[in-house]
Amino acid sequence: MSNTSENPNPSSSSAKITLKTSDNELFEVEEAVAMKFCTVKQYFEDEKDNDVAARGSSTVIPLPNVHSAVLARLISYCKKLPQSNAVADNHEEEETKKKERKQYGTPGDLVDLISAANYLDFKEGLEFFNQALADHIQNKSVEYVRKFFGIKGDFEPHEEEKYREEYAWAFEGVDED
Amino acid sequence: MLTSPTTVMCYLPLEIITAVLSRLPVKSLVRFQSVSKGWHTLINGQDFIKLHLHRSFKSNTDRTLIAQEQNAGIPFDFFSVSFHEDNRFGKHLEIYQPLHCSNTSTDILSCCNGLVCIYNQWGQVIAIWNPLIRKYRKLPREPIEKPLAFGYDSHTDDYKALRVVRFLNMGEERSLKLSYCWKKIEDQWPNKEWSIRSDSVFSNGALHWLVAVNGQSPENIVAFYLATEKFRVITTPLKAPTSCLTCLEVLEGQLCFIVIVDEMYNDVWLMKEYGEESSWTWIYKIEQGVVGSTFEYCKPLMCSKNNGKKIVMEECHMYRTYLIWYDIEKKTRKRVKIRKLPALFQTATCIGSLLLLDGDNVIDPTQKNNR
Repeated sequence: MSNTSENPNPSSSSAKITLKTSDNELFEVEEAVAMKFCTVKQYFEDEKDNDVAARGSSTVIPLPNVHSAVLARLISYCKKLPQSNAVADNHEEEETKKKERKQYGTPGDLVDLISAANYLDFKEGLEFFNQALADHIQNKSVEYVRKFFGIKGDFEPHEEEKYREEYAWAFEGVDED
Repeated sequence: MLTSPTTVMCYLPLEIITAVLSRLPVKSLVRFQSVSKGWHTLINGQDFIKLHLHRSFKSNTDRTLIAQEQNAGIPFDFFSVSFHEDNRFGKHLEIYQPLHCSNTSTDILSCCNGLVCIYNQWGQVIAIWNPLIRKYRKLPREPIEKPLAFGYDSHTDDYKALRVVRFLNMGEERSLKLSYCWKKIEDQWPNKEWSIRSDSVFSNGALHWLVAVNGQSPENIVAFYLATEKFRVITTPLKAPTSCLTCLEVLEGQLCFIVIVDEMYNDVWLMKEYGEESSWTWIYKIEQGVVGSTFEYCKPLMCSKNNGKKIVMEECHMYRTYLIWYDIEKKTRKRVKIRKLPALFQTATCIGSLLLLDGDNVIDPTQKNNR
């Protein structure tokens, strides 16, 4: 089954590259988009050196660590890239940017997106989603963060109590979980 | 040893966790130290603290004005005002400073990398203070005049305070605080006839002062490099008439030279490329009329995010201090409205920094928590 990514400009004559996800979906994406993923770029260039690509444009690049749902989001983010990296100029813009960072799904999805961006060596994406995750946990409680990252608190109860007393100010104004 | 991310939710490698945490404000990080021993070690590590500071500068995280009220009502003579990403200011918060004493006020000497160097004349105590994480460290006590300068040496990862001690007919001696002891600087003050004519400012790893021969206006800046402990002379963009006052500031990390002309206007230059005298660039003039009918000095504090065409300034007018936005293109001024600001104050610009995380806690005896 082929999953052609929505191209807003169908007349574009740029070369396409096919990516195959862990769940065997095929994505045909513009070369410019695919080249943002350094892992893909490297693979593509190695293939070129091996003279495989020269035989036809049918090269399929396998991405065994990326699920189709995640790749679709990354590609859609890629297409918006120039606007997303502009710095906000005023309050409204900053709010828009924050909203934009939130629209890529649940916090759990963010972890998937970060893992995929990391695997694909997609730097802008990684920065963007890291910031989105930081925005998400910024006002969260210690308990929430432990649960979210699957970390077991390993301080003795009296150590933790002492810590909370010492830094009481840092524990104020935390969001409800 | 760091917690290995093995559970369902957390399959993010440590480098990613580090990258995410480095984007957090200091308050979150102080709280998250107690997530686990692993996180505690990570957040307290020198590498992380440096990475976080670097990120703070890049994204202006936690930018905060720390202000000291003049003729203060004790005990709260200090307050902070946060400056948000969207160029808006937060509420005015009273903060308790570590050298608090009931009968004299404490002065801000200088600041760098989120640390503020403060001095209490009565106790002759100097402390380095990170107001955003409420930590401080006192410097060893010395019954000599107050230190003149304070900065960060990235080579040795140390904070150094420098004071200039003058001996009659013997030129000047300099001492440096390094790991809790004062030591004499070997390098010679560039010119024995020059005396210091400004507060010190820290920029690009060096401390700077305007200097001049008595009776003349400064046309030179002496820089002292904390890493090499050497002096260097930088010329100012112009020699101001002797009737004018001159000041040295740092704006967004760059040296800033200001000439105050007869209570009429301030002319302001920036050194765009550090150490390159040809890179002095005139950036704006702020005139009488734009600000009050008489004014002396508008100290630039911070640029607006992004284009930097607006500058936050501290304006002193008729024994009152105001924070203003000055648009350097349109030449318009707008007062920053923050409730309950004291009448007269001096400010320092802080950034989110975890430096001194291992310092002593600033304990507020009134138990009044502001955050």
